Amino acid sequence: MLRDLSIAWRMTLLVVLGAAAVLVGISVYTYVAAGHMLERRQRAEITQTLQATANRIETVENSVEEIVQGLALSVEGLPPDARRARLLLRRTVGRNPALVGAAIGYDPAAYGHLAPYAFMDGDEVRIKDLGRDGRAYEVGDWFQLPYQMEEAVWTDPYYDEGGADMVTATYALPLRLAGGPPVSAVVTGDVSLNWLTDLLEGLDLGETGYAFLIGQNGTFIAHPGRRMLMNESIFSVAEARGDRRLRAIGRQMIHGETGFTAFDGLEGLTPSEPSYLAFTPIPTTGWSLGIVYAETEIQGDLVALSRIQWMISFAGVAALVLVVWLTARTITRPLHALDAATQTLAEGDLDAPLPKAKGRDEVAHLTDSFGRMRDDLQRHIEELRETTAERERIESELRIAADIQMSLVPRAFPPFPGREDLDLHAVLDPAREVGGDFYDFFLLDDDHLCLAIADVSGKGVPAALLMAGARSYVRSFAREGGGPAEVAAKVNVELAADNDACMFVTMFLAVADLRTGVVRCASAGHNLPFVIDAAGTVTQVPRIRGVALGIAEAAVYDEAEVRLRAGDALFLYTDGVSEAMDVAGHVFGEERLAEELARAGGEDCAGIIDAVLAAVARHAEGAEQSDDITMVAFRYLGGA
Amino acid sequence: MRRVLPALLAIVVCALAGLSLGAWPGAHPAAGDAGATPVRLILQWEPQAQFAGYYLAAEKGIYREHGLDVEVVAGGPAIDPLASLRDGKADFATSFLTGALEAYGEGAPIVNVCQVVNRSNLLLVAHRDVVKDRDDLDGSRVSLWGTSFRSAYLDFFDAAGVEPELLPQYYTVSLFLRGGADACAAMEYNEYHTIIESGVDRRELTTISLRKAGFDFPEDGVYALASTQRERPGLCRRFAAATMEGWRYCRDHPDEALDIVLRETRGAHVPTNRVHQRWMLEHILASIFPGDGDGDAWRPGRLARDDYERTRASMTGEGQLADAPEYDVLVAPEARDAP
Repeated sequence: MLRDLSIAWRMTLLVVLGAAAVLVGISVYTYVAAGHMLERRQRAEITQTLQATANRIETVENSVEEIVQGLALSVEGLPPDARRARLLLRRTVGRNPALVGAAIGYDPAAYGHLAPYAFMDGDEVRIKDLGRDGRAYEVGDWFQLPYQMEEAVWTDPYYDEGGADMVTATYALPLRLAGGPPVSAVVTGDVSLNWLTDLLEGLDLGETGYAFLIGQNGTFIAHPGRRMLMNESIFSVAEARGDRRLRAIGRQMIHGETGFTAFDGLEGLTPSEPSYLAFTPIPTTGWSLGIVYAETEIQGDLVALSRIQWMISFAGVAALVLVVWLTARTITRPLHALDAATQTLAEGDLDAPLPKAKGRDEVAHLTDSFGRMRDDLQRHIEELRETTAERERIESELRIAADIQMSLVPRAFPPFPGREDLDLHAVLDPAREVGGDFYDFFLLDDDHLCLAIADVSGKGVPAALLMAGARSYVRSFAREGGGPAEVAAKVNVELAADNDACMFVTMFLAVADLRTGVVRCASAGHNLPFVIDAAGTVTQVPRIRGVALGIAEAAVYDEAEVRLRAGDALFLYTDGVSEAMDVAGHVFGEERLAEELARAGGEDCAGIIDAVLAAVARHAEGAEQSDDITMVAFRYLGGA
Repeated sequence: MRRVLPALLAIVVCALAGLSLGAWPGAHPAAGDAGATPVRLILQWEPQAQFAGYYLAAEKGIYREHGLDVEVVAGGPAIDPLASLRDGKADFATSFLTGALEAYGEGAPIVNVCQVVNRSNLLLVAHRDVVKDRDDLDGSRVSLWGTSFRSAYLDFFDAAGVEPELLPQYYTVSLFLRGGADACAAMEYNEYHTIIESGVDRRELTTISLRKAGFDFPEDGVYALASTQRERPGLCRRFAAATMEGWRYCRDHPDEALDIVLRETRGAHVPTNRVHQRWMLEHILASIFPGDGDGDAWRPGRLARDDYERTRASMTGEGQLADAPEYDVLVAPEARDAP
């Protein structure tokens, strides 16, 4: 499908897809990484705020502890003195704005019910006795806990019965008086916790964040939900929600652990948005301070960041599309021009102008190569035209030569209609390129037949012309009388006389006496013919001395005689028959020829020649014919 | 048909009118404001679900339906309900049976007119890392409430053969939570849950139910002066009946009961929360009305002779009381389980 698109579109699409994938990857990574980073930073900030706030609370508590310890030092070791105690308490409360009240409760078992208490009433310090009329102050945690545990404690914060809407916590210190039991009295300092709520509400914790403080048993001492104060504990909220995790967090908090955890919100009693809780203990009192902040605060920043990132990404991809598209166009435009030029070229217009190649890029190279190819093509076509013309010239020359060759041999059979004393057939099967074979036969008189077969060296027109010359000489010298050896000698002299081209002709000449059957023969270096007698026995004409014509003027030619009985046949041939080759280069051979002649001996002359032709064709079996195949068969049928 | 329809309509209208008249508290012949007897009830302690039935009976007009105009007065550390009864500051007061026996012994001529809580809720709760079982209690620091709450625990220690070091326990379990005591007394419906709600897990506690250990003493009952019961038996009967009806209403409408209890706690500045009050209501109701598994362990509102005798024996046996009244003396006829 992609391949159906144009290159420009494909490039654009792929680049955009690639770029989009990279941008998505970057965006996702950034989102996650930035999320972690923001989370870490926010966590660090929250932790810092948490610690700073815890420290501030602790500082106030420490100062209260110091005041109460100071008070204890003033009383410790002395006998009980109610008047002095009242004075000390009044002065301590009056001088320390952190304190809203202070008391010294004496052990009722040792001293009876006596517990002077100084407290702020508006701007005034007032004194009362918590043990007046035998009131049982020892039932309060502030007395009971240090009394039983013999150590200083911070009581669980409580609503002050006297003051309206004031949460108070008490630091209570046991001490021993002179001559008294181990815990003779408990000295206390009360501190209002209303400032805690103000402090926590003043913290900058974003829009949804808030801080809260729980006591030793998980009760909310400070919390933005005022209803929760002193009523609910982190555990009651957990139980109401069925939230075991919150209970586990609560336990960590009251056990003085510091932590940071995902949190389901605490505002009201139903889980709200997902948020985090950071908490740390306030060691002095065993309380725990928690800061809750919503996940959305981080998410908000992150969403804004990623929105900007996406916008930049989209703009970037859009710009990229444009750039890639334009770049792709600069590549494909010359390609399109080249394409158009090619079309014109394909239609045959090699002179059509090619687009100009600009620069040195691949397309320019392609255009250059294309131009070179076109030039080569033009040159090649020109050369082709020239060679074709040359070939045509050669072929016409060969045609002429062939025409000459074929026009010089008698081709009408039977050649002598009406003559009953002889049968004669001949064939000249020229090779593709004109060879120099020819045959001839003519009656010298009524009783003498001259037969000639020759092979001219060389090919083409010169060979044809030589052949024509040789034939004319044979015809004219034979008619002058004289035997075939004489004729051969004369022809030889003529041909050798002005044989500049050093061409030569092998020839077999025979003159048959049709009355007697005696055949006088001469050979100029030619293949010796076969004689087939009436019984089918094949014999070769004996060897006769004589070299090819045209080589040496002084050459000597012998003459031989062959006596044919009626029915005997003489078979003349050129080396195109005996040396016909098959594909593997094996020649047909004279022996094979003799066998074929023996097999076909019963046929007439045309039949003999056809049989030999067929045998040669079978032997060649598709191999190209390399030489002219020429045969003449003459059968003597007896004198009249 | 035409004649039947108007007749049917008339019947329906009359029925509806009758219903609404009957349901309207003000329309009750014996419950008009003018006719209702003003009565004051003092509770043992500050408002909480332990007293839901009394608050609901008043709030839902159940007392009024019984011809009573009841003022419910919350108790507290400074109030002794039975003393208030003796002093004529109240007509009725609630008290543990043990507390009533103690008060009687101190000369308060009181009589039980209705036994509300028939099953003990007393627990002994210990830090498991210190006290694994009852034997570990020997020599451990155990905090207990004052006199009238003690006898069951002391009986239990005797039976278990342990001698803990006893510390006083007052209104909080802070001493126990801070490790100042190894074990403490706890009501199953109150302090036990407070401890759980303070972040202590159940598996960190060893919890002993005194009821299951065989020291099952009836708890909250309604008391009046014997003279009141003698002179105005109808008033006591009506008050007892209305009170139990109030508790039945709580059982059937726990959420509404919690709403009203929480309104009372807030009004009295008692720090608490709904979860805790729900726990308390569920457990106190299970001690008032026998559940499916309790069979006919007790009759709601009545004090069984056996239960009384067991409690009496414990109180006198531990030497807290020299003597205690007979069943028929302390328990008014209408509160007796059997004739």
